[in-house]
Amino acid sequence: MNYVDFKIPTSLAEARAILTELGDQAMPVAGSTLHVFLRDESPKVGVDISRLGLGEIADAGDHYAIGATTTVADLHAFSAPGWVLNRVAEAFVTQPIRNMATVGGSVVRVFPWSDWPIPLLALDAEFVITGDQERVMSAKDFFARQPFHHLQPGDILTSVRVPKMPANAGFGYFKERRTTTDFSRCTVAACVSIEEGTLADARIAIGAAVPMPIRMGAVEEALKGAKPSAAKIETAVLNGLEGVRWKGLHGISDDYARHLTVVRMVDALQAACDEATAQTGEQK
Amino acid sequence: MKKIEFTLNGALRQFDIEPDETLIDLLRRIGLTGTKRGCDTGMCGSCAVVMDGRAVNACILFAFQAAGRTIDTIEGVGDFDQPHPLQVAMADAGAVQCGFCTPGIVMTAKALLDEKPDADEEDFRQHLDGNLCRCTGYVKIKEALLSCSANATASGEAS
Amino acid sequence: MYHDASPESLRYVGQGPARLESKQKLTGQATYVADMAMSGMLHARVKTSPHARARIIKIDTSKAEALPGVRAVVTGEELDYRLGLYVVDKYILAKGEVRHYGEAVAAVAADSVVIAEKAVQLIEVEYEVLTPVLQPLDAIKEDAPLVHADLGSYDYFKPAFTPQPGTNIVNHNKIRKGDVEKAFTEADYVIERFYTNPSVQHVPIETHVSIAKWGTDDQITIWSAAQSPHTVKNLFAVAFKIPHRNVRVQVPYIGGGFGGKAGIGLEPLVAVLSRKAGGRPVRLQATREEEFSLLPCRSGLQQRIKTGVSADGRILAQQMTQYWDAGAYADYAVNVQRAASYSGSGPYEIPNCWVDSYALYTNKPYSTAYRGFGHVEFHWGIERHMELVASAIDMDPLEFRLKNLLRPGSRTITGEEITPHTGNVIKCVETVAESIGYGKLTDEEKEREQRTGRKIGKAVAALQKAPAMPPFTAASVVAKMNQDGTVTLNVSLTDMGQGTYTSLAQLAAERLKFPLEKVHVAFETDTDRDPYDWQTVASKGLMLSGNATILAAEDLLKNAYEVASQILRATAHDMDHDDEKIFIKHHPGRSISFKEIAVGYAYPDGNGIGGPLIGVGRYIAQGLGHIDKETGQGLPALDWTYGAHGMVVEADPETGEYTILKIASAFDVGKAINTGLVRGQAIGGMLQGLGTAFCEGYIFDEQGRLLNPSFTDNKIPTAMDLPLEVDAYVVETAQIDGPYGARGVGEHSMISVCSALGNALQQAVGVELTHMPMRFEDVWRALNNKTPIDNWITKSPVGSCRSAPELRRHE
Repeated sequence: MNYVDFKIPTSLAEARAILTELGDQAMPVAGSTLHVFLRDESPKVGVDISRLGLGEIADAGDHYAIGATTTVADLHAFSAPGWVLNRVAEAFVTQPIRNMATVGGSVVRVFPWSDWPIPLLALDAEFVITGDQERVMSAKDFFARQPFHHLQPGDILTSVRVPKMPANAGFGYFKERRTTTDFSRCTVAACVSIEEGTLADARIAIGAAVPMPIRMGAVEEALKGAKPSAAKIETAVLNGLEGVRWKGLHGISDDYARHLTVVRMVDALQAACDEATAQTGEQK
Repeated sequence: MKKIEFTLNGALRQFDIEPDETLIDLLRRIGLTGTKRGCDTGMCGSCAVVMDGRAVNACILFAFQAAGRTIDTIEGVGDFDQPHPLQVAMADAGAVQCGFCTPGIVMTAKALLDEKPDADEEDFRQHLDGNLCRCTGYVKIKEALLSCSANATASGEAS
Repeated sequence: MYHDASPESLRYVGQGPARLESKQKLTGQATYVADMAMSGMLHARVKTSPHARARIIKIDTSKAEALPGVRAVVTGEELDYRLGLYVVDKYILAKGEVRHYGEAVAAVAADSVVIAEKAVQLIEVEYEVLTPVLQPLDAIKEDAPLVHADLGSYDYFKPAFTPQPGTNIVNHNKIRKGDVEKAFTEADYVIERFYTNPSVQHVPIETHVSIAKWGTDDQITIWSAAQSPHTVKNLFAVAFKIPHRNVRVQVPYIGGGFGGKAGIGLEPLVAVLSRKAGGRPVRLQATREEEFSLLPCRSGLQQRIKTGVSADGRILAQQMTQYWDAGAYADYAVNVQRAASYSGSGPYEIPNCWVDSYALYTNKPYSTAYRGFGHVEFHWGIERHMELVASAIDMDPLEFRLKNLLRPGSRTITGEEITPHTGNVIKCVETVAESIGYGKLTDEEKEREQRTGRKIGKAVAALQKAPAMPPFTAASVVAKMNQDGTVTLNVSLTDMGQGTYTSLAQLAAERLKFPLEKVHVAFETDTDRDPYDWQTVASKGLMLSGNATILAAEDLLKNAYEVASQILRATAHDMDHDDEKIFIKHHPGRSISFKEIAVGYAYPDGNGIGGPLIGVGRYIAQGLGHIDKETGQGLPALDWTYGAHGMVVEADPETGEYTILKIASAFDVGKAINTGLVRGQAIGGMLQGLGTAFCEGYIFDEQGRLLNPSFTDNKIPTAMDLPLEVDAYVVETAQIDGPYGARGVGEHSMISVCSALGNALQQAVGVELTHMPMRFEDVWRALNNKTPIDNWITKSPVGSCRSAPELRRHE
């Protein structure tokens, strides 16, 4: 990165003022890990946004509000009822990178292999952008295109709201790679809730094996209201693949990307159902 | 050149830095060459230093990001006469071969033990996943680190 | 030497003292070349070729030269020096033509790395892009483009190599033992397969780095992360036609080598930059990306193996044709290929055996020595083939191996007779088989299969390797006594992490009867000050330099006794010594301390005798010779180290994914001089072998551009990728001419790991894998009888994490 200057604001207002003034010349920096993937050599001013008080996870009733500069290591270490993102954090790159990378940086620019958009899609997370006004975007809207395009000069993604998993819900997450610290070739996250022995809700998102992370709407629809059997899950997955454009990463074929994702979609849904069932069982 | 200050190995110091200077460049420029350059993409961990108590890769951090923070490097961890217990354990276990990844491993392991003195085998495996070592196969490193954990006797001796 | 010393008589040999230099490394105090700074030092960067094969039409360096802070710019046009270990085929900078992606075409020395990098970007190169030849099997075709049209004019090492001008064949070796054609007709089964593996990178964590200063009167000093300082010196002096005495090579700590730093690398380039910059020192450290493409890699191999067996499982005949992908320059590749011809059968007795082994030029990054020196690659085929042959004749693969492995009285494929002292491969195989519980699943394993839906497989693979080196390879050691009676060893064998210096210290302490603490090995080597050693390669260091160390210790003692003899007025025969003094055996009270004679003895009146005590040890491989060029018969091997791996793997029949549950390794090391270091080599090499077995490999596009030259796209194993259980065993069949019976084991742990994995996967889910590495998709495709995916040269760029084409499209 060709930094010609840097700024270290200590409040959100100050940071916004700097970003507004500098416009395209500003490059917000928090965890710094994104630098590896950016090839922009135009002169930039680095704006350190890691000291704006956005590094905490707060219990906000029905959801957790994750400050945008919360590190992945903090997501990993956090433990609370209805919190499942530690499972995602655990499979994220390496310890030094978990210590540096922030949740905000991991979602504003989506790479084919990005981990975080998939669970956040499946969990119906919301994204809070602070500009002249505060805006809240749904995950579906946020990831509909490269998220940084949603940001105008001076806008900062300040928080990610992750709904708490209800007691009757379960979560399943799989990330496939060559070595433990590799970039994903297939990421699947599923979230279900079970009421009276049937699936009240089912949400599933996939990534890495497709160009941009997506929710699998047809699979979800087929499962809602159904009894969570292995056969039902498998049928729903196999019948819900229409229109998906498969793309193998890191030397794997599109065929294998598809196969692996299908297997893991079934596994993730099954794991989510098992967890939900176990939890509802415990409550009774 | 622009001035910043941060606490380096326990002492508050001022530095004149270039805006595009990475932390590893700064450290090596001032003579702290124990922090090694292995890939410049944050993928090998040879340049791991501890920032505010956590291991980070100095090759992808810009020096200005260290402003106001606390940075610890290998030069601040034990010395020849008074080595840190981790260093003693690694020497005894034969956990060092070519030695190039070694400072980064010491820093990462130290950050873990400082935060969690009773770290177990799984903690070490996870925390070391960002330190590439091409010589040792990691087994002896793991054995050495485990012997430094408060958990060492409870979890049994390394095989 | 002293192979029959009784274990009780040994104080240091066979123990596991800690590595001598651990603390320097652990405190960050060990100085590597990249850590050195010199006054006036300039920093270099390299302009590399984006094409695999192209004519250089024009290079314009004017803008780079005009940049403030630039002190020297060089291009190939102004340099007329060619280098090569065995075939002299490589210019320092490409001249007229580039032959591989990443090849250096120009270089800059400047006041800082940043300026040098900017200058490199200002150099304009005009190319005429030519069609590259990328695969060995294409390179050998008659109408293939020639990578080196001038091959006929190159000098080469004639006793061992035979380049074929007008082709891409830079060397061809033959083994002709018996009559395979006749034996195939007599065999009950003939089984033939084709095995392949791509090029891979060594990945030392320290990339190549050199500093050079071209002083007045052509006095050149080089500081380099080089495994073999005397080879750098020799090749450098020969290439520049300057006296050897003018070239001084110094090697401080090396951050891993694995063969990648065995020959000559960046040294000539930094030297010519220094010359052009008026003699200022110039430093160049390769980026990680350059480490993959500017610097050499390991050869790819494609090989056909055809085996004839009897119904009762005896190998009657085997024919092997190996096509080695040397890349653009011969470097070590021709010798890798040569070693792979005479060792090519693996540790099996094969009465009729023909090998044709070709090293072929292609337009890819050139290849060099890499831990195992070809043996990882050809054992991949051999040990997979043994498994497949056994399955084809419905015999247990372990039983089949035990029936055919070498044993005393067997003859190798070059006609060498195996003796009871050669090493015991059968015991290695049996040891690992027992360790993994070969042939059955435990109750726990059965339960695990039930629980996971995965299948568990167990298999073994054997291996052999001898040092691949000139038959007259030599080493020397100088032992010098310090004033306090301690001893310093000077060697120019390097220690890049393998730990040989610690072993040499143990050997010296053992022979001197001194405490280990009294022996110091000078860590930083210097060709001006340290005695000759050929190279630090081939797992020959311990044997040759170990013997030289023992001889140096004996020479030192002899000289000490000579002085003591005058002082004590006794014959050497009647004297003995301990760690402090030399004394008369029958009058132990009459003695003289080493301290008093270390640098010369002074009588009370001031008269002096003796002088500084120095011991010299010289050792050369003996009794070996060049193998016959037509038949391959002869004695090429200093010593054979045998070994075996046993592997337990569980595989998912649905996805092809697998996990390694256990690996057990055993090597016949003759005698473990340092048990801890042996275990270090065993486990470290095992995991390195696993890396190339499950994921590593160069991926090119059809234009020959390397697509994955980084840690983001070329993964190596981390601590999380270790097998759940790792065991390492030693077998000790003393090598008569080895130091205290020892033989080398630096490379062996990496060999056949991949084959063991392939075999275990076959046992687990019944797949026939013939391509290494075995990615999960390869297993899945084999399971589903789909065509194997060979995308190591790929039509469409595969997803590179860093280039992230998908991201750009969304922007």
